[in-house]
Amino acid sequence: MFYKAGLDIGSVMAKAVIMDNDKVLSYSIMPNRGSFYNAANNVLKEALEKAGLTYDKLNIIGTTGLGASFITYPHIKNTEVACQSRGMNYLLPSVRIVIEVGDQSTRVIKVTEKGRVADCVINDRCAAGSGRILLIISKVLRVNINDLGNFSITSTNPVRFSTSCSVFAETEAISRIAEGIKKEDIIAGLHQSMAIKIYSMIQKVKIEEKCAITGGGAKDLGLVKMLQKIIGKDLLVPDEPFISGAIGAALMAAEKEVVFT
Amino acid sequence: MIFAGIDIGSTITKVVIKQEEEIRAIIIQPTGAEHRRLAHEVIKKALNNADVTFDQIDFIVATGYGRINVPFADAQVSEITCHMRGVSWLFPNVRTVIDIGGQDCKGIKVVNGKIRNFIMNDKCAAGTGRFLEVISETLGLKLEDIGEISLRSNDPAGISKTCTIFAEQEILLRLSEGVSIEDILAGLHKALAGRIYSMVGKIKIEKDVVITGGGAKNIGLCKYLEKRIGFSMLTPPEPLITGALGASIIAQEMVTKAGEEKLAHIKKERKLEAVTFFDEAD
Amino acid sequence: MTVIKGLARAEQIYQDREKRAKELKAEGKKIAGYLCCYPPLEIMTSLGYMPIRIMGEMDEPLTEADTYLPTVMCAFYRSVLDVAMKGRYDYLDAFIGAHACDGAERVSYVWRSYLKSPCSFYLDIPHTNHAAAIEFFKKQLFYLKEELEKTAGKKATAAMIKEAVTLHNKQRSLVRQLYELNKQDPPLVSGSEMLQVMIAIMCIPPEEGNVLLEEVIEEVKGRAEGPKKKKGRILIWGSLIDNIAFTKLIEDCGLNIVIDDTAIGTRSFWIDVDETEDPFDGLAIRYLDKIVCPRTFRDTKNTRMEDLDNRFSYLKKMIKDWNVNGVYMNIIRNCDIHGYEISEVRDYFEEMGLPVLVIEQDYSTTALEPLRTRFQAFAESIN
Repeated sequence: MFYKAGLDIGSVMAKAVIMDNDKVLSYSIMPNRGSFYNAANNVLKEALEKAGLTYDKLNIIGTTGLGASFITYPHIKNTEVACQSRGMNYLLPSVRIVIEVGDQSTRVIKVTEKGRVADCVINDRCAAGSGRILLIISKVLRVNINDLGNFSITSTNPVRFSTSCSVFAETEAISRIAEGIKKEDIIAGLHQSMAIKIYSMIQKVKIEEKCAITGGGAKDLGLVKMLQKIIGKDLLVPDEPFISGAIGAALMAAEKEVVFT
Repeated sequence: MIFAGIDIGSTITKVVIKQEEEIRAIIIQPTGAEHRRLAHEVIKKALNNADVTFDQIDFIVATGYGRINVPFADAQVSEITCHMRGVSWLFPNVRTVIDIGGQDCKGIKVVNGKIRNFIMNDKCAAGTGRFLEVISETLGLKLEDIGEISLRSNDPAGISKTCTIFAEQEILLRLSEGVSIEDILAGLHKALAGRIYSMVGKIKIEKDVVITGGGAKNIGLCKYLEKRIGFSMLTPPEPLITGALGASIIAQEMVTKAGEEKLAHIKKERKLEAVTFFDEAD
Repeated sequence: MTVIKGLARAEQIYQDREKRAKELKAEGKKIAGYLCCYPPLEIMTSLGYMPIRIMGEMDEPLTEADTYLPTVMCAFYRSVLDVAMKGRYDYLDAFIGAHACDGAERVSYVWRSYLKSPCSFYLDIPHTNHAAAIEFFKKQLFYLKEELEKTAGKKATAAMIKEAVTLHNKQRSLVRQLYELNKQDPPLVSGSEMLQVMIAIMCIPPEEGNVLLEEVIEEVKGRAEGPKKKKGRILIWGSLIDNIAFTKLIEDCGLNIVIDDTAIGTRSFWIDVDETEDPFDGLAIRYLDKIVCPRTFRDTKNTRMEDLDNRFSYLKKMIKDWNVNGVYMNIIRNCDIHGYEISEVRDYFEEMGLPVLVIEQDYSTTALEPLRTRFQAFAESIN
């Protein structure tokens, strides 16, 4: 028995997985509601409960994400990019391009056979192309975020957005509503502008045979479909896109431990 | 004669009713999604406050981003010209106008009461009032309080990002690190002032500088901006209405220029009735 | 069946720019695509190639180009490569790249590696107009001729090139005649119509272009309903415009575009090629020295004003002759050729007492609407 935990404390969601060697025993996902510290504690507690384990049974804890530095218990921290890459390699070994659509950032990672990072593009100057706009738009249109995809795929005439700024896209969406444009066309239009932005990021690392999408954005069927259309190939999606980073964090921590001892 | 200027901004709608050199009524209220219905509503309120009837108004000029959605306006004029005219009326020596609106930020260079040059950011929310709105929301504070709170800081936090969404993220990080709210706010205001300064700087900032728009009401932003510029700025008594005021002045000028007999040609056949293109049933 | 001619024909060609080239190709004619206004059309024409100007597409989101080009590069050339990668120019028999600017140079490289045109030539254009540079450029033109001869299956004699010079000079003179008609107020041709005509003649053989120009001149001379009188009579300086959505937006805001100094406009046609003994002399001087794009360095003079006059006095003349009362400086984002000149040229125009509007635009039709307020404010600032 070698129990390890992986935590990915993102800007909006906290994710934890408990693994026994190479097997995922349980996981937990919760919003962090402004406190990284509390979220990190609670999400680990819940995951441990689901696995029927206690904290002292854990051999090692790996962490990643914006909020990882606020964790007080002993842990081994790795970057988001490295953990995503490792985690996706574990879940979908054939994949060489990982698109991670998070709340604030979108990353495109080129992954080696061994799950290492070969290349990476991140939107680090402006949030255009990140998943935040999906949250914003679901509020504006009063559509559940999980239903955005269902609306989007029925659109025949996606609106063209003149801005890629997430904050202004909200205003533009409001104007379109006032003009009487259908919800599905607005949502599909947003998906389209995100997909074009993401595709231009993919091109900087050059596309590969097998591509996958993960992160919260992967749960949006409309975005996935639109990206597939623009890229011209199918995207693999993990069963639970939220936890790929946490899995990577757990695996990487364990690997490092082996090196250290 | 009585004139009206109506400025439908992205966030706030303003109306000024002016008779000769006297301002008879001012209305300021939030812009919703539906401009036409709103235009009708605010003009009615303004008429009421000014105690005049719709037919007594000689000319109406609409401006702002929703200017085409004012069905009863006699003319539309861009907000850049209107702001400049409104500010020049209040401050005849103005050379530079910095307008920080809800969705854009403008710098206007004025020479002899005319626009020499202007610059505008409406591409991204960085450097606009929207930035302040989002951060006050994130921090759970009132928009009108954050400027003052920021001035209590002696050690502004380092905020490196001007993208609104990323700044939000940086706020969360700094908060979690235990940085005080005033230091965070000071850092944010400093970053915003820096962004505005570098944009408006392209048209060469010269005295007198007048700051208008919602941003002018934020004392923190004004202080940090003045620090960057190196001298103090002037603020109108009500910084929100310069666009609408300018529109009413232009209305007056258009009528004077046209003269009595030609007035009928430039005046539109207008009726005050609620027009809407929005499906009322949601 | 009615024959479509004049402005309507220009519009038709503008809408489907490759149509005529493809028709002619089906009939066995060879087509040569070229970048910017520097590769001499006379050499292509004399060897039986139909020259077609390679353009981008403001309506098309950039999806392919970013693999090959950095995003800090000019949006126009990124778009050129983008549509090329999507197959728009696959039918070309020859591709003539040119070092007009660094963007064009980059595109030429990538084009040669990924888009295998049967004949591909890179025209090295020096960045000065010194005698040695003209001599060098003349040699490059000779190489271009030799390269095209290989696939043309024939040789171009001096007589053939001279004949092409005469043909293209005729086109230039017709273009100037057409612009002349805009000296009156209101102008006879709108900016959008002019742009359609300019693009049309860059996409059809010169003989057909000349017929089209003659038709247009005749048509607009006799027109009852031309452009309306507007407050602004503007000159457009700077990066090229190749979509009428842009000119229409400008014209919507109370401005008439009466003259321009851009590469899809006067710059490509304004000056004739001298009919020299050795035709390459005339071509080298005309294309390197007489095209007025700021890409070419011209010797400095004593004072800044003399320097500006040396480089831009032709603009002063245009402004006077066309009675211009405002200048729009069009800069496609990251266009270094024009972007770097903003302050110099702007000062020069302002010295003349003209209101100037500078916009750095994204070369995308979706980003046009927000520019409306700027153009409207600019129109309001013109007396």
